[in-house]
Amino acid sequence: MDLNKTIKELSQNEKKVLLTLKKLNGKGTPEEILKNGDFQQKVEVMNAASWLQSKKLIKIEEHIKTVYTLGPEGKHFLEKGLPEKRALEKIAEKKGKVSLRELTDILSEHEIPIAIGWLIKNRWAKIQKNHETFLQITEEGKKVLGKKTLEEQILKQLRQHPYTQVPDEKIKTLLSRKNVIKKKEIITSIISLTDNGKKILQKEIKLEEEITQITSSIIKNGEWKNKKIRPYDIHAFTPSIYGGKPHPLIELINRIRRIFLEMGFQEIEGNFVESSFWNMDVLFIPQDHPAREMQDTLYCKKPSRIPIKEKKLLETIAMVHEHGGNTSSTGWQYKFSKKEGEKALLRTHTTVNTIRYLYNNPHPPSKVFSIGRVFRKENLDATHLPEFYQIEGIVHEKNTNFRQLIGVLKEFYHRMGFEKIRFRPAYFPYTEPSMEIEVFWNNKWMELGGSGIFRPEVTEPIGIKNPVLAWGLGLERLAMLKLGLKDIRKLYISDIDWLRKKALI
Amino acid sequence: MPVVTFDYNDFINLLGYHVSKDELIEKIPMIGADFDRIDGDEISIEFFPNRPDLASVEGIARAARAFFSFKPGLRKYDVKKSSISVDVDYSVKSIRPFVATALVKNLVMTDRLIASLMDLQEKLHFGLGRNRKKVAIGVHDFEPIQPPFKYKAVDPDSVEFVPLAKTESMTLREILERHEKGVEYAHLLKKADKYPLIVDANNNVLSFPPIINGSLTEVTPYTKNVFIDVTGTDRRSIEYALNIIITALAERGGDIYNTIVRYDRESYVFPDLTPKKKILSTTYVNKILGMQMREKEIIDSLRKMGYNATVRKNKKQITVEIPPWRSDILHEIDLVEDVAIGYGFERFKTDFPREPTFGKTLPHHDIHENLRRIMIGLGFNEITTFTISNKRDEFTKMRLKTLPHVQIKNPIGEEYSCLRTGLIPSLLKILSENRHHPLPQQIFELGIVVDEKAKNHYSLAAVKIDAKANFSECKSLVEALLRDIGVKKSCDIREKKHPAFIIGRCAAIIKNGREIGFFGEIHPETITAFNLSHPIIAFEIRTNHIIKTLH
Repeated sequence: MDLNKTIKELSQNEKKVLLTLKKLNGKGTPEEILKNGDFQQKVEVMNAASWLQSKKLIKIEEHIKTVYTLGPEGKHFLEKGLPEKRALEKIAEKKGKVSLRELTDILSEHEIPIAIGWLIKNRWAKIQKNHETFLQITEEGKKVLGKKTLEEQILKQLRQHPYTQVPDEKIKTLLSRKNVIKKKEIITSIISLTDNGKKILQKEIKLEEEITQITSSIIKNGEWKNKKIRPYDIHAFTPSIYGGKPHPLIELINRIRRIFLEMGFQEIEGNFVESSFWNMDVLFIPQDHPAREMQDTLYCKKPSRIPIKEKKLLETIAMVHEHGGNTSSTGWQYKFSKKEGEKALLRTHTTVNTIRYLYNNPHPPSKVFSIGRVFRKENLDATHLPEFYQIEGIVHEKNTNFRQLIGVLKEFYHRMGFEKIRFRPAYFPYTEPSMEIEVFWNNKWMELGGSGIFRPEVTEPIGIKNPVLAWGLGLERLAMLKLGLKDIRKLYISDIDWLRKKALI
Repeated sequence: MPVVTFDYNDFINLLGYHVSKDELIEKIPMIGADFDRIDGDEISIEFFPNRPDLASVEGIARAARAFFSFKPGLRKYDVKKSSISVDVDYSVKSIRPFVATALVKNLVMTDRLIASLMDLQEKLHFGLGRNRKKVAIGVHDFEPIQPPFKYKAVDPDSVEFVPLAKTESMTLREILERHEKGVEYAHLLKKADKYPLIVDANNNVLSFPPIINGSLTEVTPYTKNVFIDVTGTDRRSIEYALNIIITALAERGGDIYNTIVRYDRESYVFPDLTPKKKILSTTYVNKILGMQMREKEIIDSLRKMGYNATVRKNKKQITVEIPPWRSDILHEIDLVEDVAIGYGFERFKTDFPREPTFGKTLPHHDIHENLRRIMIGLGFNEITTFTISNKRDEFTKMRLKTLPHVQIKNPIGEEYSCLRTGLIPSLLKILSENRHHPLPQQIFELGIVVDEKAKNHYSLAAVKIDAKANFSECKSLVEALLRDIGVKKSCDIREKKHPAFIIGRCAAIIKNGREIGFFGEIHPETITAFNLSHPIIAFEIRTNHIIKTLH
């Protein structure tokens, strides 16, 4: 420990505490330091002491001390005298013998048994029974006449110095009397110098006036030129500050957005409420597909239907579903229902945005993406949400192909910081070939999303003649990996403490 | 996705070749299925719903045999002739018109095979059969019944028989009312006044499709020969289901026998395991995959996927023979995918798009980013919350009358039954979740709200809960925001009455005569309703109104 540096960093109050302790021979209570040092308040002593303790110059030890003060009976006894003492005096006055009846002159009814009890116990008097009961003084009794007993001395002492310590054996009898003495346990601190503290005191500690907080007037009047500015202990604890912060999920979205922008993609968006036609039918999802059932998709009560304005497209799509239309597909071989297509739902994927974009912009090249909320009928738990983000994208150019899909997705995940990426066969009703993307993270392969080339039954009816690469990636799983989260709900029902303390990624 | 669980040793027996467990677990996902879990010798895989032929261990073994290159190409099964026939009565036409049947003999029935068969049947019912609506399968012990069979529709009270899992005889109507399966599937016959039935020559009931079989033909460990009926509403689907079941049994050593199904004017022989043919263009394959594969390579890849394929003379074309259990081949593109899977996804080299396009953000992107930065600069923590909410939080707790809004027909629960029309309730819910943390707390969200016409809008809202929060502070915050976004000078503040705010402590922000937002001190009743107990200030601004005025 660099004692000189430590001395420099001592505050005025810290120095005063050390110097006062020296005066008190290295040890004292905060009260003693307050009294013997030049302090205004005890809190100054305590603050300085706790800093000194953190600098290992002093030790603060806490002791539990039992103290006593007068109870209501005690105060009463002190004023009037102890009942047995008063009885003894009466006995002496009556020549060494009184009847119990006579005691009622000086003692109240409840004091009489107390007085008799203690007279007997102290052997100051004896009981004599004739036609009446008498108390007869003993030699012992005669001795204490006119003298202060130990108990009286302690009562008096406690009146002068309430809440002070009294040796156990001295206060034992008083404690056994009801309501005479109050007992209290108080914690007192003993502050003592450590070896380092003693060493520092061997050096010179000057109590010079120094600047703690620089103020405007100190700067202006030049006071700082003549006074020492106290250095801080830079390792000392300081309170935490929490400023405003972006939400980690939104930050992640922004990072993903930037990557797609850098890769030449244009961002698009759309409404949450869509028709089944655009969300499902146009994507060649058969109308009896299990995913379209009420247990998987959230349908709307209000609005319940969304009319399909694209009448010609509706006819084409109906044919594609029924027998393939002009696509050389067999179709799904069932009777297509236009009414089913009008059902309003909460979009189950953002692919609904991309397909509508392609319908409105059929000419290549285009690369678009969206990062938007989608909805599924899922109960909320640690790994499922009814509402979550999908990272959607397409590449549309004359000669796109499967290898380019692999290339684009690998590039994206590399830029997201994943080294190892692999692709597996997958199934989605609207892409063929379809691929599942997995990244290697924490020694495990994690599925992060689906991708593929839109089926001809999807692209041809909307006027697209080339293959279109498409993907829909999960955001929340990615967020869980990147943020080290175990419970997905934390993203949407965020704990403020977590937000305050979480480092930006 | 459906899961098939099987025993490793059983699989190896079926496969007929040795593959280590590790290799199996590594390679199976590359055929087109997800590995689910492994527990000792018990292996579970999730198969894709378009491949019902992989819904049994027998089907997986067949696919693996080709994919692992033990026996590539189309697996052929002998079909022996029989004179068994099924007469289809005209009465079924409007109810459940199609039936296909077959006989599989000489099986060694074990408990394991019975379990596997029932499992496959259930999976086909669910997926291909759309929960028995499109396809229902009956598997029968052939011993106690006598062909020819008859498929007809009968009056619900006219026939009674002992159904599976019961000991008493019940009429068809009683089955729908009282039998577990009857109750479960009764809706499929809701519109019918007569019910379908398959009976034998002696009028013994085989099955009451799509509900239940008779207990007479229950398959037991003593069964050797099974008769299979598949009924339904789609001719193609019932045939695929039949082919999948009988070829699975043939993998177990059974001999397939055909049957004749006779309609009024025509008759069909089932099963028909002749592969369908499709022409695949080499150019198309290479265009889609971005490869220069030669015909031989394409054929090898297809054979690994269980197809037979041959080059057409003098043409860059390949004739592909499609296994009769592959219901998922709708278009040439489906074959292209199987070429890619057979070739191996891991072998494709990466490539990139060639044509230049330019990155572009949404028009409101920059303004949104500025709004977020301003709010963060003002010391607010950003949050993001669900857009699905409920009437109680959106209106009741806000002391508002219920306004028109998007409602969900089949919500997961009351808590998530509508779309929000404003952000403040979402923010108050977050404060409520964070009651135990020290104050002050100040949070904001730039999020989406949905109007009564089901259109999305962006909105910015912030709330602050603090022992000393008050209207003046709120006004300072709103003015700071408007100033920093550059619209303060053109905005007015006007008194507003909003039930969620204290009267006299709420104001509207007016821009060009139009209200673009509001702010103030939240009403104590709203604070209490969200389980909070300290003063709260809040504001909400429709950001598209700001953007419109900026442009």
